[in-house]
Amino acid sequence: MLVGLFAGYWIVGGLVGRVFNHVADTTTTYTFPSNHTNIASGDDQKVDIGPNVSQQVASNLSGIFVTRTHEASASTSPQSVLDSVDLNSLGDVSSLADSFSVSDLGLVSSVDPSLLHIVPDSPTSIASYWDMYGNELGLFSTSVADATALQDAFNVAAQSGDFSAVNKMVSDYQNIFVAISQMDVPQSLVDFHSKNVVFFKNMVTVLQGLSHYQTDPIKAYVLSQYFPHLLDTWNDVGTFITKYAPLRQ
Amino acid sequence: MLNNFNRTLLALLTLVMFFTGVVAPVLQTNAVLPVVDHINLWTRIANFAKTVANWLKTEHLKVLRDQIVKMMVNRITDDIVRSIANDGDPQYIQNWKSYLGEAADVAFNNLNDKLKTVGANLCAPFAPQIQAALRYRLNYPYGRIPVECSFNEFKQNLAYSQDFLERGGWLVYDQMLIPSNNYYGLSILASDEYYNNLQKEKTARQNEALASSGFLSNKKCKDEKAIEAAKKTCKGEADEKTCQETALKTTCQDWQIITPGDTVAQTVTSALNLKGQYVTNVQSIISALTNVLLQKVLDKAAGGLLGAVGNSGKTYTVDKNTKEQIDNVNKAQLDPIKKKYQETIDYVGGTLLPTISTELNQANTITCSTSTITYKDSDGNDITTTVGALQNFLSITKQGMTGAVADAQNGVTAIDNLSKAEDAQAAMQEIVNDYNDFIGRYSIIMIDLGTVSAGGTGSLERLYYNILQALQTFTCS
Repeated sequence: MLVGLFAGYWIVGGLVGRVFNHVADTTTTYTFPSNHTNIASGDDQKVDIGPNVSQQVASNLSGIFVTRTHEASASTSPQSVLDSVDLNSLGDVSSLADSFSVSDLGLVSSVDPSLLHIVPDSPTSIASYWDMYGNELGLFSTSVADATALQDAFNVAAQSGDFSAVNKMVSDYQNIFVAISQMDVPQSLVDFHSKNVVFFKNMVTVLQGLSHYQTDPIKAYVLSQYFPHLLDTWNDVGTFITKYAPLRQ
Repeated sequence: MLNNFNRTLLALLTLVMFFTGVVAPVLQTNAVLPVVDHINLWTRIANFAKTVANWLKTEHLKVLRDQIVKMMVNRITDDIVRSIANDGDPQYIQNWKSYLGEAADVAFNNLNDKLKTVGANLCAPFAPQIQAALRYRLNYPYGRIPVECSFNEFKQNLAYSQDFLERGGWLVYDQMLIPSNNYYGLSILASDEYYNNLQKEKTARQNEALASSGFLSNKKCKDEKAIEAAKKTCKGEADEKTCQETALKTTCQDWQIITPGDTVAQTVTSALNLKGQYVTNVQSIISALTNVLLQKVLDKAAGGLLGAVGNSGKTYTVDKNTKEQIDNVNKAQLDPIKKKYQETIDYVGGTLLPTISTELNQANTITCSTSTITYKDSDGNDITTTVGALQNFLSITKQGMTGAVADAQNGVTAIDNLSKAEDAQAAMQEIVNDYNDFIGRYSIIMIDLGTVSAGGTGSLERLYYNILQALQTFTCS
């Protein structure tokens, strides 16, 4: 019994130590491009949906069509003039696209560490982190990670214009994102945690963008196309969890 | 049973662990470690995200596309309507009753003109009374005295007519017996004439509007007299331009129709229907636009997020529809390049190279390579050189021209194969780079192509023709 107890102490201690060491080794792989958008100070609890991309594109496109309509009105073959509004106009629109940045879409790729609640490494802080993190994951997976409910909410919105369920869902996602971003983070888990914050922040952004698809469908469209790539971030999180997260049943 | 040594060892170990902080934290860790299967939770979230991603791809993207087109078309429609509304001076009829009612203004002015031709002028005696009568009978709320009458003239006429009635007199009486010269007769005439004019104008307006599907023509007044009168009347008004335009609506007798109403109607209704090619254009533009945005989001080099998702860049694929749009965009941009390549092939391969080959063959038959030969350059200046040097020149030229044709053919092939490229953007960039290199390397040919495509004769064509002429007449001395 004594030997078992003794061994148990050191197995747990060793596991924690290995986690420390491996986290320390692994952190270098969790670097984010420095030129990317950071969560701005004071805004980390909000999801700014940014400028309305569709409105700006619509304005630009509309200008092209209105101009052509007036040109066509002076033409003996107006339809052909109207039909000539084709990809030749794309140069202008592409220029417009160039004026948008990733941040305009509300996406982030890194987190300003100064905005995180970083605490010193210790077995206690690490265990506490995994505890809290597990709680939030559990909350997320049981309360909002319901694909059927999500689809139903959007179907109702599309058919009846009632976005209350969609908005409630986005609000729930945002609350979890805020809770995660406010967690105490041990020093050695900052990079891992940052990746989580980026994932959940972008998750909220995508869903928020989708919830505004009627007013800014282009942004929603681009965010939808981006969504599968968000999964890659989550896969990286999963890899880390598989290796280092404590498993207790 | 533990012996003393074991007890001591246990106590010692326990003390050491407590005092070194090993036991306490570990115990505490055990106390707070969650009963949570992180991997299971992560897997559930991953499955959720995959399901959502699949739903977005298979179902919701279509909804978004429809929404994009709907929004764009609505916006375009609104703006077209707003543009033809033209800030309060609509080019299409919003209120038929009001539009036809405006005919009264025109009819009244026409009446005045008509009366003037028979010697009666609303600016002359009886004008105030007739106008008052017309207003009463027709309930016609005109608010503006015809622009020919100034306010002073109006007051003077009023005074004169009162004076005239008070004075009476046979001469005047006789004159008054003429219907157009007395108040009652003139009133009747004016009334009838007014109704006739009104009906004519209404009919004309209605016909014009119906023929134009309710859209008005763009008209410009060419009646200099009316323009001058309007300027005079509106001088000093807060908004002189609007005032003049309003005045001209009723006074201008000569309108230049800039755009026939039916053309405007056809254009606008066509634009507002936004069917077929129009919507396709919107979809094409949006599709390509979203691709540009998406590329920006994902492209690490462009400041996108790809760097944050590891090495998954190659997993990104655009859907078939978007790819077709990209190909179309690329094709539209590459068509001019392909055209230039083709012109090079036609000009160099079809015109210059055969001539140069003939010349080279001819020159190679000449044995006196040191003899001099004179030919004219493209500007007609004499060039004297040796036959051997000319042979070398022609040989090098032939080699260069052959290379130009080959490069042009490679360029055409690269453009034709663009749709098969795995990375269309990279292939596109390579094509553009190659083309820039091409036009730099063969700049003389490019200059000639400008002349040739305009229907002229290229300088190279003239040069090689001149050389051929010289070779055909050359004899060894």
